[in-house]
Amino acid sequence: MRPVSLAVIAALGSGLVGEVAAQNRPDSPRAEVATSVEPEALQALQRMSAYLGTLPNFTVAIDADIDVVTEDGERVRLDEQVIYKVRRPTGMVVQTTSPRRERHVIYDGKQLTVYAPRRGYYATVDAPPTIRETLGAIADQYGINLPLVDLLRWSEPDSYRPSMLKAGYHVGPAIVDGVETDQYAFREGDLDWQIWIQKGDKPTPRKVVIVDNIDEARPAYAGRLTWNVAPQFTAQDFAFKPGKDAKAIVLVTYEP
Amino acid sequence: MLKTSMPTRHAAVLFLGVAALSTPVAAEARGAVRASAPTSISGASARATTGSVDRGVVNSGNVSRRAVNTGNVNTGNINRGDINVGNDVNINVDGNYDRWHDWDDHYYPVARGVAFGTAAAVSAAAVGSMIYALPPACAPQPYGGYTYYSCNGVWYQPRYQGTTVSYVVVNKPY
Repeated sequence: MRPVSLAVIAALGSGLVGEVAAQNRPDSPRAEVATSVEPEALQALQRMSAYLGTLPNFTVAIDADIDVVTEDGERVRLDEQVIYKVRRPTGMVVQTTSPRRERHVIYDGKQLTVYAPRRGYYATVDAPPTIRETLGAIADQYGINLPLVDLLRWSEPDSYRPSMLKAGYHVGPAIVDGVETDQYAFREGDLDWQIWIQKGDKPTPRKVVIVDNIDEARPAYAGRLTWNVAPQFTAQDFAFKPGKDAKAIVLVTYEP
Repeated sequence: MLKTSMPTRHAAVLFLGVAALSTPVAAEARGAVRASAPTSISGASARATTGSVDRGVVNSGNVSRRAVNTGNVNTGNINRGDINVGNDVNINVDGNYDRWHDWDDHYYPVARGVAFGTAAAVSAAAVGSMIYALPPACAPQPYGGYTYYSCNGVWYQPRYQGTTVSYVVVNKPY
């Protein structure tokens, strides 16, 4: 935290902590921002990624706040709950729920299903044999951006992460939901993002904040994560069962 | 990394922000969403790393959202008709969930106003045109393993674009 400690302390002193500080507008063109990544920050990211990669099964519940920006610049924060169930290498369920919208993305090792229980529509397509390949198809072939899909991608052996980062540093210790964590801040592309990693021998991410720098209102995503790293799954957890009146529809292939 | 001075550009941005807050704005414009937070780092980075192309995706996403809001729904028969006359605030997008522009299952006014009708009036039902909610009284018609809807002689095929359900006008399937 050497290069920025004074600035961070100033931000803390003025009542701006964590996410709020990160949401301040940049006061310099992006070309002028720091382009260094502290080894300490990168190591923390790699240690967390390696740990996540060792988990054969896990569930994580994400309590997310998502900003949208209206045409006249009002930033409105919406809530969403997400549950990931992961059984490597062939089982994954991602359930996204809010009063506005409910979607299940279900992968059983053979097929991928997108299901909207309340609307009663589902689409099932053949899928690659592993979660990792299926994640690629989900993003590239079908244009689906799973919330915090990074949780799965960080542990990929050839993760592109380190080379993407143009700044990163240790902000300091923090308590998230009663758990001791270390907070790190990174910049890459058009994003500023922060992560709170649990201290100790189970370095899971407990909070993630992502700030979009394209829109001047700088909408942010903030997710708090609750982990179960030893869940008991049954085959039912990854089996898709459509509701009684659910109808099969087409899943369109994404063309940029 | 964090500067203490405030360049002119920053001040201008702040000023615009304040102006927007204090100036009465047409409620219809307020309801449309121009941007939403990225919900993942890698997804958004993939978007950002290919430079102009990816900004193109973002921009076209916004354009699409606008097209949807001002086309089929907001400036269609509903908002300018008898139901909602520019006095509602609807947030129709719940996060940058997919690369496709997003749409809700339900439309909740975020700040104030009137519940949004879910039926989009369709004035031009050209084959290939798309809506996000069916007109009233459409009967489901199963055919070839998928469901179609017949609405006063116009046929719709529901489909997922990403995780968003849309309805595309098709020729009668059988």
